[in-house]
Amino acid sequence: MLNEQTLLLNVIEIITSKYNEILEENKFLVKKLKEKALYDTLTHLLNRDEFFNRLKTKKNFCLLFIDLDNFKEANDTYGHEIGDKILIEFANLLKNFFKGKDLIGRIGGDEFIVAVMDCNKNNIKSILKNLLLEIKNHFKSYNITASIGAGFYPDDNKNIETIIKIADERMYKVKKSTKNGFCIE
Amino acid sequence: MIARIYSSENSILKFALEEIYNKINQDLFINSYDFIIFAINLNYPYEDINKDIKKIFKTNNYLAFNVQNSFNNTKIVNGVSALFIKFENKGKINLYTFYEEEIDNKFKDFLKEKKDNLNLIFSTYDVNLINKITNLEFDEEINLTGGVIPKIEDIGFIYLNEKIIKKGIVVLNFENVEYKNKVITGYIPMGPDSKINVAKDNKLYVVDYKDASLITNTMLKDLDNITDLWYAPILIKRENFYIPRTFKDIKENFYIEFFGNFKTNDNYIQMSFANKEILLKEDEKEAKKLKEELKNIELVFDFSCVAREYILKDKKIEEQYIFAKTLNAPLFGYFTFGEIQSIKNEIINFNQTTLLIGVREC
Repeated sequence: MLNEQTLLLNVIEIITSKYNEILEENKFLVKKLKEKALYDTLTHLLNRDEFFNRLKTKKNFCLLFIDLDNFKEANDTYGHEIGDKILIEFANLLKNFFKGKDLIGRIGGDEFIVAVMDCNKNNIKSILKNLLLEIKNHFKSYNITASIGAGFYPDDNKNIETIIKIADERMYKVKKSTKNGFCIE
Repeated sequence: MIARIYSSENSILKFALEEIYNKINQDLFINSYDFIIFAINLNYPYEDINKDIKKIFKTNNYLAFNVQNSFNNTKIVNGVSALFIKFENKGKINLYTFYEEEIDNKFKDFLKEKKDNLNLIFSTYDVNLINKITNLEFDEEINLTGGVIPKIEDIGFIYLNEKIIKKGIVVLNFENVEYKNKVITGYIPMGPDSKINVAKDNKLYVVDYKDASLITNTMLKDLDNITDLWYAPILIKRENFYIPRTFKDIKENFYIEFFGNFKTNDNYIQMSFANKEILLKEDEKEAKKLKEELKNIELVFDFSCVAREYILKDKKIEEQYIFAKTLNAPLFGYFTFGEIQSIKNEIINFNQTTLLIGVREC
């Protein structure tokens, strides 16, 4: 009888350990799924939905719409692997450049979005000049620069959708004219 | 069909057989017999078995095999048990012998040809032989049921006429009988499934990407003997049933060896535990089902694993009573080293089960 009880306890120990493994595995999977739901899988920046979800509660910011210039040409010339590498490096550049409460996301292809907190039309110019310079230097070998459009909350509008539209339109203005520049009004 | 079982525990084979001969001749309900099946303890001199049977019973229509213990209705016999069968209508027994080299062709063709009959197999204990049988592939449903006879210190043979089969199988092919059978398990599955990563023949190497022997390391904590693990057989999971596997040996940091094999379609295992009362309840439930499925049973074969005997201990005799009481028919059988049962088009070697076969002449 004693042997049976000992064996039963041993079997339960194995089962408990197995359940713990499953639990750990599930935690890991949940973490992975969560990451996949919130972050862009290539660059690990916030994805579009999560970016705007986090932006909802913000009250004073400058929204930057950033589109890489000549990315398509680099991608066609050097291949998708290099194209992906450029996008990852660009994401890292943004992460290093913008700090603290600022939000950075990728909305698809070579389009990025940044919400710079507590920022207005007067102080954004120097930030953008430096950003463009840094991008140009970093991606010199691929001839990649950036076109940036900015929208301001609450100065331009108090509706986020409208701010996005404004920033997007300003980015296109740059794209259609000089490229490698920014437009804030 | 009339079936009678007589037994003797006389330690001299000749006297044991003579005692049985006298008993059957005094039985008023059976005055002749068409076939005899002898279950003979391993301790008797095996060289004399054929000679003594023929001398005393003066017949060639018999099959004998070695056992540790046999079943004579509600008794567990440590000697000789003999089942006498007399057909009253068109019933008939045909005896076929197959050796290892004949399994892939002759035996396979036989099973295909006789797929509608009751084919009762008696196999000697040999891992390669049994793996060969259970790895046969069929396109259609076949019928095979029976057990592996025990082998202790190289003794464990089958006997017929002039022959002693040391490595091979004998099949009793029954014509013009109806039959139903049950594979009785009753173990309590415990915990989640584990994935079989590497298993070959009777050895399990890697489970859940870890050495399989890690399982037995934990199971054997504070225990001395591998037979203690027979209370917790591993269950191989199949779609609608499971196959219990009895622990045989452990090679530390390498593999666990079982009394039965793993096939390529065995993907998951589960832990289990045996409770005597639950096993007996399962016996009763399945015996009742058998009784419902086949009315007026005239003979019952009981192939019960030695590992099941080990865990039931003193309750094993209760299993016999349950079957006898429920089925109300003569019961003959023995403790096996594995139970063989076809399920659809596959032959499976079970462990730790009781295989119950009810037979009635048409």
